[in-house]
Order: sequence, then structure tokens, then C-alpha cells
Amino acid sequence: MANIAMLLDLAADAMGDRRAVGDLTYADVRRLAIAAAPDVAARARGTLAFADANCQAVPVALFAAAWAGVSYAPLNYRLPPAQQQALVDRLDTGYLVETDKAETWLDELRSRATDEPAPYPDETDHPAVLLFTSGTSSEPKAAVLDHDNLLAYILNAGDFMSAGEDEAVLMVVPPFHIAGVAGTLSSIYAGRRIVPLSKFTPEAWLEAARTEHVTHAFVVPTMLARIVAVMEDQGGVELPSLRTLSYGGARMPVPVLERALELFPNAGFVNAYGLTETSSTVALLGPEDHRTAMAGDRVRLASVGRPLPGIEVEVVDEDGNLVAPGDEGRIRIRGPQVSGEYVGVDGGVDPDGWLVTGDIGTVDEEGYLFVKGRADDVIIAGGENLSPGEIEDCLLRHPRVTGAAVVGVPDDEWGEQVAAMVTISGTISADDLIEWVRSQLGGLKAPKRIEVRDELPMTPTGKLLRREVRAELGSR
Amino acid sequence: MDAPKAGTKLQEPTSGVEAIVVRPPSEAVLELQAGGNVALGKRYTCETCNAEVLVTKGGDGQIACHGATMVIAQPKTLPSSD
Repeated sequence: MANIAMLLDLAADAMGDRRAVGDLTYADVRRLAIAAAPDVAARARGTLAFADANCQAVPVALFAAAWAGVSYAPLNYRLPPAQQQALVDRLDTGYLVETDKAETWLDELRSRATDEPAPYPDETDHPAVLLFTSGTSSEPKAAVLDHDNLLAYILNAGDFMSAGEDEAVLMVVPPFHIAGVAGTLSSIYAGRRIVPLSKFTPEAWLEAARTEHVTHAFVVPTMLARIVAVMEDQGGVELPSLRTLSYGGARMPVPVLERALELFPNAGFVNAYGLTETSSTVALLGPEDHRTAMAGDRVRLASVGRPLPGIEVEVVDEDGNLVAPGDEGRIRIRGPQVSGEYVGVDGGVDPDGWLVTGDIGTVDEEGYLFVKGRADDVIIAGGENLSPGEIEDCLLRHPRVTGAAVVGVPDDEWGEQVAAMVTISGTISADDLIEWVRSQLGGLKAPKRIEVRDELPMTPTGKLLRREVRAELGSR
Repeated sequence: MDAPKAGTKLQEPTSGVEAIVVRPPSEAVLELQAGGNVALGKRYTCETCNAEVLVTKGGDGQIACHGATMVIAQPKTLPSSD
């Protein structure tokens, strides 16, 4: 098929002088990508690995790989050196942009960049992107995204040059997150300037959003929770230029979302559901859905919305039959942006093209999808299936609770019992919190044990590491 | 001749117009022709089979499918999600 390089080529032809990222225009990004490509093609052995944080070199690296016809593999730059080296070894790459070296790499490219045009290959021997999954339940696997998958998503989800010249997107999810890859591609195609933020703190995010007049932003739920906490603390913080605030990457606690909607009354909220293996978003809950839900019974604030046009998302039972509205089942996804492939692992989509996810969900009468959590995370206590998310939301509604992780731990009598790890502000006893949940949800869902911690174990992309919570709470 | 697949690149030598197939046509009747004018970055659609192409190099060309000139597609209305 085609090559994602096409997206930058179009942008540089049509709006070469517009700022693309940081100080670089679309023409600059293309010039630098072309300057890097011959060396990348000669040395990379099929993969360009990029191990730095968000910066203006990210799109250059992504498109240098595309122009060279090799895969782009952004790595977690926060890993200890030995673990990062293990990923580099697994990829067998000969071209690595090292941690803290991306700006030096760019300077070196600048010194030999010319205005000489160079075509990109229409056909490549390597997939466009290799992305290590977050590995919340097992060792990270490298997901394979082909040029076709990514182009199918980008061309389906938005229009070329649809952004106004004043639009800017704050890029804070790291380059090794699928939202970082998809957000880079879609912003370049739309002509929306990327403002890279290398390290997330709520203060830095608010400062960048204000000074750069950011109009669009994507955050993971843990980031939004921290932004909301700082805004409530400081009071009077406003971001008048922010038009669209999208979120995804993990389940959003409804109490956090409700507070955010009140703090950003003028922004349109978008909940994006997608997986690394589906090239980003496959379903979304749009601004109007949020407003309607907020004004009504609010049930749909917990929904991830409806599928994108051309994408099928279904909830099925163990035999692959559609479940009735409201009944739980496994979520499966089909469409041209769905890959499902991993390096060195059999699998991918089933013979009918479905990617069967590890997520449990329901669909309501109007087709709104609700993601209940990972199938592996369901707690089975005395034969009842309990969803950790509902119990976590309940804990988070307590004014002293700032973070909550609910898991099932082995129990001789019940099979499993509910246990929780929380972070709090001020003081509150575990017994009081257990009583709080009991009063709201009943005895079955009330944790039998709650432990207070300074922080919850998270992946760098803001996903709760439940296996660590489970190991810690189950071992005593 | 088979109908072009999604991602197939189309070229029209006299005008220099280039396009790629975004949604394939129902049969092999989609072609670029000289004459007319198409704009870089615009999507064009076939009113008969709903095929869609994206113009990657604009110029004095036109795109035809099922015996008619393809028309500019409706703008997408999805909010930005990433």
C-alpha cells in the first residue's frame, strides 16, 4: 500500500511555511527527515528506534523511518538502561536515537539538510511502526502497525488541512504511546501545530496550555485527575483557548470526569477508546454526548461512545454471538485500521477479521459502548462477577480519596475477595472507607481490606499495574 | 483489470495530477483524466459506488468513476480524539 510519508509530503507541499512542531515548519520536518533517511536506510537493519521524550525531533524520526522504508520503534526512555537495552536487542536495530540525544541528532541533521526533494518508497519491506504494549498483565509485546493500518485511521478520522492556523495541540503522552504516534500523524495531516511537553506535571501542563494558547489536548485519566486537583487547589485557573480535551488510554473514573467538566465549561470533551493494536481510536464519546449526559442522568459519562464510521465494535458471548443490550461480554473490533499482529507471536485477527480484545463491555439500546475493564481483572467473589471500576469510582467519590485500585485476592471461603489500595489526602481510616463502600454498594462489593499508600503502581503511560497491586495485597 | 485497492496511487501524466484510493470503487471504472481542476488534499467521491480518492498533487485534471466526474466529499465531522 501507500506510505505514511505521504501525510507529511502533502502538508509540506500545501502549507510548508506553517509551524508543525516547536520551531519547525512542515517544510523543515520534511527536509530533516529526508536528510536522515539515507543513513537510516543504510544502518537501521529495518528499524529506527527512538528513545527520547517528547520534543520536536519526534515527527522527524517518525518520518525519517518512513522515508527510509524502515519501521519506527519509539521506546520507553524511562526504563533502566539494562531494560531499554533488552528492547533494543529484541528489535535488532542498528539505528538508535538515544535518550537525551534527540536535539543533538537534529542539530547534526540540520548541518547537512538541503532543499533537494527526495521521493519516499511507495512500497516498503517493513511495517510502519513497532510499538511495545504497556504490559500491565505480562511482558511487553511489540505490536506491528502497517502503513495501511495507520493511513486507514488517519484518512478516516479527519480531513487534510482542516485545522485553522491558530490551532495547537499539547502533546504530553509519551512518543511510545499509540496516542503519541496517532496524534503526531493526525496533527500533521490536519495542519495543527504540535506543542511537545517532555515531562508531565499538572503545573507544567497548565503553564504550556496557557502560554502556547493550546486549543486541543489529549490526556490519560491519571493526568486529568492531577490537573483537576491542582486547579481546585489554586482556584481561578482558566484556559479560555482550550476547545477540545480528549482522554483515553485507561478507564476514566466518573468522579474525576465530572469535576473536569465543571472546571472546563467551554471545552468539548472527547472520550477515545482504542488499543495499540487498533492504531488508536475505534470509538468515541463526543462533546455533545458529554453535555447531554451531564445535564441528564449521567450514566453515559461512563461510556466510550459509538464506533467510528467504517469500524465495527461488538460485544459478544463465548460463542461469538451478540449479547443483549446491557449484558456483559467480550469486546471485539474489525476494520482496516485493526492490526492485532505482534512481532514473533502467532495470532492477530481471527479468520473473519475480528480482533478479540481482552476487554469486557456492554452496549446500551442506542449503541453506546461501556468498557467494564479487562476480563482478567474481574473479581469473582462467591460466584458473583464484580467489576473493579465500579468499586474504584465509589472510593473516589469519598472526599479524602485521591486514587484507588481494586483487585481480587484469593480467599478460601469466597474464591476471591475484594481488596483495595488507595491514596488519600488528610487522614481517614481503612475501616471508615470500607464502611463508605458498604453504605453505597452493599457488603458484597465492600473491600475486606484497604491499604493506604503514597502512590499507586502505574505504567509510564498511566495504566494501573494491577498485577503489582494484586501481588502486594494478596501476599499477606 | 481488477478494481484498484485502497492505497493504490493514480497518476495522470499530462496534468501531473496524482491521487490515492481511500475507498475502492465497486468495479474497475475509476480513472484520472485531463481537463477540469482538482485541489491538493481534497477528497472526491463517486455518487454511484461511494468510492473515495484523496488528491496528493493538484492540477488541471479530473477524476471519473461510473461514467461521471467525482464530486468533492463532505467534510468529516468527527471531533479530534488524539
